[in-house]
Amino acid sequence: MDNEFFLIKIQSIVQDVLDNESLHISETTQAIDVEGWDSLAHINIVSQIEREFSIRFSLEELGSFSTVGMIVDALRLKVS
Amino acid sequence: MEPLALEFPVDPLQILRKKRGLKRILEQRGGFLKKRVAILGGSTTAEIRDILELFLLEGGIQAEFYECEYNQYYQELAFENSSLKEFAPDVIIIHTTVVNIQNFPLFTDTVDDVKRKLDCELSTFQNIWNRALTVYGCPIIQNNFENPHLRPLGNLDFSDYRGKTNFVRALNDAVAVFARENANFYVHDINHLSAMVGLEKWSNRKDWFSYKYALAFECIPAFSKNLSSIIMAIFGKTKKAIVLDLDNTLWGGVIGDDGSDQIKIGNDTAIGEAHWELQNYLSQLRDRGILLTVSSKNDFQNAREGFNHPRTVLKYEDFAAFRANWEPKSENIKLIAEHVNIGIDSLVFLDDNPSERELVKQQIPDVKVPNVGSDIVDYAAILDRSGLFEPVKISHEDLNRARYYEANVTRTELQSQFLDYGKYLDSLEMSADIIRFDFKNLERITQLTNKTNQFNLTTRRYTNAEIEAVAADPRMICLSGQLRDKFGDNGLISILIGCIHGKLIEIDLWLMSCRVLKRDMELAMFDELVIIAKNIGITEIVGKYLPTNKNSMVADLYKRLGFKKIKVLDHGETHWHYSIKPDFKKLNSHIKVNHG
Repeated sequence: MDNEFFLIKIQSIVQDVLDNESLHISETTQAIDVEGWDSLAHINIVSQIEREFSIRFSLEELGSFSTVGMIVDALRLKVS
Repeated sequence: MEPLALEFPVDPLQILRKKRGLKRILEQRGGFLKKRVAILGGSTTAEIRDILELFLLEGGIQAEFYECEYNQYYQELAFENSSLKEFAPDVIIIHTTVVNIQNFPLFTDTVDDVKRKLDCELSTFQNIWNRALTVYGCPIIQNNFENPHLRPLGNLDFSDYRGKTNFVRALNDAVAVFARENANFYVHDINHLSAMVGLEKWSNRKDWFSYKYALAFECIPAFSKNLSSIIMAIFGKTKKAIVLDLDNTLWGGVIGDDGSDQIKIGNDTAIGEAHWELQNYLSQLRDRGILLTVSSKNDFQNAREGFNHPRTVLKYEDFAAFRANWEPKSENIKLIAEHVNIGIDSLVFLDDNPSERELVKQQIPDVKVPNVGSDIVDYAAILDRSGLFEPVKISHEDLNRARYYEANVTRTELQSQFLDYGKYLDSLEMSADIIRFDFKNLERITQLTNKTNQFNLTTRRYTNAEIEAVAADPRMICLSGQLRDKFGDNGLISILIGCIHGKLIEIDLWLMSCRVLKRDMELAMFDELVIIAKNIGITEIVGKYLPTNKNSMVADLYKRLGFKKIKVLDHGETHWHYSIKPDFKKLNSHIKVNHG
């Protein structure tokens, strides 16, 4: 599974959580750049990703995500 | 799109994921009851607030929220708090959990040490509960405590006096005692909820360490749903009756095909036992005041025959309405609502057939139709966890409601024997107690103000504390009416609250239970008001009719009583005026009235 695959899934989750169907994200996207992606939404997004891929991020990983790309990287390691 | 994700059984992750979209859709419905809700947390509450908002919207309540800073619940309530005072909450939620217990026992503690710790913990809470009840005068909802997820004493934690589990149980007992002694204090039973969800899932430490959520993020929808049920019950949104299908719902099999001796009910078969459990559950709902009714596609005689089965729990007489025919169920449901005199939005429809459920949902969107699936094994549990019938208190009237309706059927039969309605009324041998609010009835009075929608001129809702204040205020006229007849006691069924301004009484609230419509009880209440007014030198009475989509039956009540219309507002609100004549003659002639 390549990064694009994870990115599409994450984008769909972010669109639902932020209620914005036209939102586009890339690996360099940071939460701070996206309207409505506040700390509350962030918890929701991360929890949805965990559920979607049936994985759990460690406390250390949770504290380290500063871009979407970093979430993708952590995800790829766990899923593949 | 209908917000299906909010239907019980809920899919928590879908709700969390789609919450913003769901909110947008729900808010389009309109016609909301607006309430101010304060959430005072001992842990993070942001997501709880967001999801609670959805469930309240779904139940017809639009909430404005007040949230305190993280873990400030104690400070918010223990001290002067002008911002909360200014917010003027309609309800206060104290969201504390096991993480907020300060003084757990140590293994070196003596029995007395542990007792002191328990007293200390309790008095801290009782201090803020008492303050909240007196300062804000609104309902308080307090979580009880879930069991601790770690047990350093293992199974001994439950029974040893130093055990944390033991300590939590003692605290919870005290919370229950406080709730029994304070009418405006409600317990949100998260001890049950966490057990139902599973303590392992509930106590997600990652969500605590990372975000300071005291319960798993994923459990927030179940938490908020359960909490919303209490709030809806407080504000009178609880359902009052259930419409039941028969074949494959109340019993297994199709009675028209299989015959009454072949239907499955009782413990002879697994399926029969599951239907028996459902009937037994419904029978308990009936015993505490929920009306049971039937809508079945069957010949009437066949349908009725099913309740002669030796193992049936429910009997034909247990139903307040019974419609078995081949007409669409939506039509039957409308007739049932009319027959038992309750609003159609107070009904729940239970049917095993998904196409019948879908039809009713489409034809009468106001009727609640739980998605019970197709396996009888789940029905009772889904009904139970739906919170649709959540009671806040069990009143004397609740326990006798089914009997009132049974007697109503007898009254209707009697009525058909009379051509003259007045003679029929006389034959009922009615007598009424119309008295100033009595302390022992205040809870029932509050309940009526929150539940009565049809015969209700202003639809003003009151909390227990407000009713207590009214009862204690000598400037307020506050009458309650209780009606009996030869078939039984109808209980306390009418309320009138008026405020004295000089030579004038303004009627703030006048309502009557639909159980006693067309019995001239409203005339008796009005006579009483006029007599009291005359005795204290009042010469005028004014009243308002505030239209809702349910109270059109009283739009011309004041006109019928001889009031003059003095004002008409755009949205249909009307104001009325009445001059008391010295030779006032009583309007009621069929009810014998006893005064206080």
